[in-house]
Amino acid sequence: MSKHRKSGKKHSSNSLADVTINDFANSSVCKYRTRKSTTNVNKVLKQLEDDKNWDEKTEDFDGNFVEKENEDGTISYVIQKSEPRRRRKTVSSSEDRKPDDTGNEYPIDIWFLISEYIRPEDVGRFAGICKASYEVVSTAKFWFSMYKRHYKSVPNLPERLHPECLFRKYGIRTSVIRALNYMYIPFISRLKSMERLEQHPDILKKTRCVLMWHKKTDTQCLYYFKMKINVQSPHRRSQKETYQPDLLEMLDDVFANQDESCRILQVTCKHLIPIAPVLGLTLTSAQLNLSAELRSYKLQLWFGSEIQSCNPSTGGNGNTLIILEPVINVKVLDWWHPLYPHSYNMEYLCNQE
Amino acid sequence: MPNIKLRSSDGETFEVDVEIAKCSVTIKTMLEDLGMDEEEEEVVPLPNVNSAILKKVIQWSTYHKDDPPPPEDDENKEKRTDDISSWDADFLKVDQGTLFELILAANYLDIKGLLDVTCKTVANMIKGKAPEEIRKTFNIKNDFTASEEEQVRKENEWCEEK
Repeated sequence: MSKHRKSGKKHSSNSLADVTINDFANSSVCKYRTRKSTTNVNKVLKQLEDDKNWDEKTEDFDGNFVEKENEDGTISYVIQKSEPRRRRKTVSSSEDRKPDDTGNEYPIDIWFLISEYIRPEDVGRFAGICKASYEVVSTAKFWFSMYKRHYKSVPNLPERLHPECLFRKYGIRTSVIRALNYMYIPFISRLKSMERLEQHPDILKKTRCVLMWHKKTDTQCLYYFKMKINVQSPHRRSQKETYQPDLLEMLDDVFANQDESCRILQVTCKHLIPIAPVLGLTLTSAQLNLSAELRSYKLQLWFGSEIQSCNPSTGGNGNTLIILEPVINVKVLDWWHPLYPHSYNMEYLCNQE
Repeated sequence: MPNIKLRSSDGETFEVDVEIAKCSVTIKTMLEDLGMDEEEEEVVPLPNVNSAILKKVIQWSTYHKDDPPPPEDDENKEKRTDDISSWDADFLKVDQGTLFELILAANYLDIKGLLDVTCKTVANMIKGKAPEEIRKTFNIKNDFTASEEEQVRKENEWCEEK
């Protein structure tokens, strides 16, 4: 026993035997006891709840167990529905909430189960049903599974879209969509039918040239203009401005796509024609006419600053005009198109041409 | 044939053939792991399945009790959705709420055949429909804002038919 004990606490050892666990727990003097914290308990409970399966969760359970005596005298418990609870709504003040709030909400598990049976061409429809279905489409699991289900060994599939190269979450959605356009027959047929209906370069109006280059082969010269849509959706923009993901989060970014909102204008000419640089300029107008010799085309592209593109009344002042003639072929390629040029397939594409 | 009692979430008890009940891997495992003797008068509680859905599940399992065990899922194979038998197609002509509840029940009870056929039915009903139409068909709440909906549409331009 310590000699330095204070006189005022002399009785404590005598009365120690009489202290029950209950007295200790409810003591008003609690210097050394671990602090009881309800928030921590809540946190632990919430964590446990989060770890549970949907069928084990209690948060959506709105009934009471009621004791009921069976005919044979045994007691069983039945669930009696209680008054429906009012759900808390999380409405973002900046967002426009739709008035239509009726309908059922299903757990995300159901959407995961159904997602296994969704065809690639129905992904957009599926994602657009509700937030839970969208969340499923935003997972790496969904895209890995989609790839595995539709993987076919096709000769022209770039190496980086082979199964052994697709194991990281980063950009998996982009890679799978690209791979589907090589392997999935309905998509291949769609591309073939689109080839017949060539898109006019005019559809690239108001897009900005972010990259341009050309490639000369023995028989022709290919011009590439990488065009990017200028306006971002307000939702994405606000998200990007306010939130900076860390490196690990970036590595898990399923949606990563450097070519998002980009299209390539690919122009095949008979020979090399020197053209003015239009990097950073916006396409204001495009004309594709049959050339005088009637065997090729004449492509005229007007580029200007972003302001000029929004205000056509400024006329041709300050515009940069590119004339390409004789043109054999013009293609507008979306980022998922197999002919969309990347560092890894440029050589192959040029040999194909 | 020995019977087993299954109790639904709303307290209704169903007496079924053990072999039929064992279509559910959950019940089969429960009986094997917990050593519940088939002759005992034990009641198996199924707190996640209500009586109306349990009735449908038993009906499906009774019809399919002699089916060979479903093949293991090959994740490297495209899942067909056009191979639903006519009996199953008739069986699943139910309201959409019941269809979704059957998926949840089949998942909980681990009845692969029923899960497959219900998911295929929903996937077939989604085919070619606009999200708004799908929500209407299944009475699903639209929890997107207009701008979010537009963003989802833009993100999925790659699969739009042109």
